[in-house]
Amino acid sequence: MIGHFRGDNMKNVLITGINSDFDNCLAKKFMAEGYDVFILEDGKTLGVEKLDFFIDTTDYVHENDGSSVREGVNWDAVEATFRNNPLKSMALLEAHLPLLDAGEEKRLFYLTQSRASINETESTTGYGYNMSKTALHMFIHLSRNKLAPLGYTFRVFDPLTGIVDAKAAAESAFTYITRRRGTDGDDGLRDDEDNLVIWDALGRKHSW
Amino acid sequence: MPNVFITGADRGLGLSLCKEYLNRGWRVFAGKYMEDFALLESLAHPALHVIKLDIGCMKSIAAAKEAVLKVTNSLDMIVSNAALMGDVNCELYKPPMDLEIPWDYFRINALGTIKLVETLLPIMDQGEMKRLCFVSSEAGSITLMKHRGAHPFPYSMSKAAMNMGVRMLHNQLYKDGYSFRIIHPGWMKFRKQDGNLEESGRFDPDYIGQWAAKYFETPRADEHRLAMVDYREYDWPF
Repeated sequence: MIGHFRGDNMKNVLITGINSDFDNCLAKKFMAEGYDVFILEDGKTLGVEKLDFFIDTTDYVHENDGSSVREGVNWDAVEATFRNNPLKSMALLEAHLPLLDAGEEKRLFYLTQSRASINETESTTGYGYNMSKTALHMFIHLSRNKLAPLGYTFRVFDPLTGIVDAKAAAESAFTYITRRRGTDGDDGLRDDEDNLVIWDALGRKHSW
Repeated sequence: MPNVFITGADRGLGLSLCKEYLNRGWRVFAGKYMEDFALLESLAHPALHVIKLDIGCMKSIAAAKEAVLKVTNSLDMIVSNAALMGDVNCELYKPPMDLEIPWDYFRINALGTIKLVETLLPIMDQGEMKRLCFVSSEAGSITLMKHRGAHPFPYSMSKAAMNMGVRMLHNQLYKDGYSFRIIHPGWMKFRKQDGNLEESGRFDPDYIGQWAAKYFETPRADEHRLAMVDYREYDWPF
């Protein structure tokens, strides 16, 4: 843990790393709103008994992951990307699941980009990022199938880096993370929490 | 004589597809991985070229390309069928997860598939049909995974990643004259070393192979559309 920022609303937030302006703005937003914010450092333990919000900021992009099959894909960059985007996220969730089980909110947040939607992408390059994030999307679905009956809810978010200002994107993400999604009483068929989607910083929904 | 390269040809659907295309008058380059299976060699057909291939190994893929070039400088079709599958211990609440298990699935099922196409692309460019065929699975459908209970991570994750790779190939290569097939073949019975089928499973791979060979070969009216279909040719979402 490289940072513990104590708030007063008794809800613990774990942010798995600060790797971008967006991550930084999101951490500051949680602090400003009175949450207890923990920022992870490899090999350190948290020293808390429960976590409420799990913010996985893993969103690895390799600088050499920009070639098509005609140009020659850099497979070392692809491997490095896979070892981060799905695999690191899998390890992080497994490691913190006991603390999340003890928490009240049980809400998990993941970063992605809409270019990693099989249905929407127009990419011809970035095999490492797109394929690894697609694997992550499947991991999120499989985890949801396992964890939703235990009270877990999920948020998947595209901050639209380079399109939306990082602070504005963090405001969108904070609302998305902390606000419950709509439901019509006890009608399970009209509960949007059951509808796992990618939302972006402009409030648009993307398919998988 | 058209040329097809088929991976995972040792048994199952891959073997059945080899038989189908040989009977249809194709020259077949058959990727062989399992040393202890001799079903492929037992076909003993003059148009069959057995090539050692570990789809998870970049050097092996490069060597397979050289083996093809010794016979022909053009391929018409690739059928990417080789896959790692089976029960593995990689679950939440059963720590620690061995993350080399999903990595192996990614390396073979997703990355090896795309690497094979990349490697053989110059030879495919010389072919007439330019058809890229992929054996995927409903287990790789992210959209429909919401209806499934607890399910092992690695296989589904790897097939979803493969589907993305195929989408990216389609984005680039359709305009170059390439056409694509993705199938969910269903739960097939394993073929044992003696050639007999195991009891578990729903379909005889020869039955699926007959359908798949025809589906792969026959032109479609909507070649511009990337679709994953099952043996009934029903559409499955990604």
